[in-house]
Amino acid sequence: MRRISIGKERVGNIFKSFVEAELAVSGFTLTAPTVAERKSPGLRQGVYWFGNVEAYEPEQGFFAASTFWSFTHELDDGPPMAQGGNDRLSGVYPEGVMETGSLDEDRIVTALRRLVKSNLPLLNRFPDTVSLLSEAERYPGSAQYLLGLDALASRFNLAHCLETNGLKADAKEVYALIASMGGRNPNRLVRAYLSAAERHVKALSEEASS
Amino acid sequence: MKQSVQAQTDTALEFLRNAALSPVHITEEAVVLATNYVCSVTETRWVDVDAKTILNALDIYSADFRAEKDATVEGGYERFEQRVSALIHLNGLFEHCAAVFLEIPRKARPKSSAKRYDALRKQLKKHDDVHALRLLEEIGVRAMVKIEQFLVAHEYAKHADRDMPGAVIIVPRHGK
Repeated sequence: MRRISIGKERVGNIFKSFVEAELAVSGFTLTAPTVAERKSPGLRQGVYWFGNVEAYEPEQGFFAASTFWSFTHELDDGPPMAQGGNDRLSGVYPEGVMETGSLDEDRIVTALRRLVKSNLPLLNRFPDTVSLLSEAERYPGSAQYLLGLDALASRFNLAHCLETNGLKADAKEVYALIASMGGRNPNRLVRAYLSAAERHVKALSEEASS
Repeated sequence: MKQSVQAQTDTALEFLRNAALSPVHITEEAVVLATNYVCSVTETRWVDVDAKTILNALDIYSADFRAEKDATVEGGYERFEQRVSALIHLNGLFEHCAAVFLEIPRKARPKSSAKRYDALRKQLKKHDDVHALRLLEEIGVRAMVKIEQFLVAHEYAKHADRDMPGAVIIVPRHGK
């Protein structure tokens, strides 16, 4: 069967050109070959791609692109930090786009345009931690879609948003709650969240008393 | 029992307030779930729910609802409104088809979706229900997935009436 290859490098160049031509105007810059992002205090918003673009059978090739926002604390695992979606816990990943089969520049650019058209309005609606925080407080049912699906990460992100916005006493309270949550849970990620929460409680306590 | 528009609005609002979702996250599918709840609680058939009632409840739920949809959804509020109306209408059709199918004696009801689809078409022809037949044929046999969900709900409701008076009927989710 015929094998096709568009190659990571070429897709990376297509993505780079797209970012410069169509995303720079919205404040995005390339930060990795697969990621373009913009920042506000405590938050990263990005557009990223992944896929099987090296040598592949026509039916096995795919190009996927999506958007994300991720909170810039020590447990930020948004692209390009973690390789696969299963390794990510901290950020929010709205649904993206995918092209399958034989890939070329036109199809990739069309997919990226589709993504920007459908997802950029959402990123623009929540450009900073203030907007995420106020919407999560007003609509608690949406908190998981604003601050993260994972209960622990979502709570940590809440504390991070509070801290970023100077609500340090509230942030400390949420961090303290997280620190008390895990008990003897041996899960590596849970332990990392608990330790981080403890460090924040300590730092905020020291800051308050100085 | 056909309930008042006010009761439908109040029930939709109860669902929306319990879910406490941002207007940004209230998708067409969430509205279908809200309508499903309205139908269950007020014992209303889907065909007796006017999409405008549900859309009105969304406006009451959030004064910013339309603006939020205009800002965050491709096609804005207008497209959202069209899709919600279409989905409610479509669920009404599926519910109606399920009721027509249930007129077929239990032992004569085919098991496979394809045969059920043919049997339903025959039944609709028998009623001279040209409108429902045309819509059903436009969708084709894949409509049976949704119609069968209503069949399950009908069966469950029958059992609930007989064995569990006052039980809440949980109707399966109807998505896109």
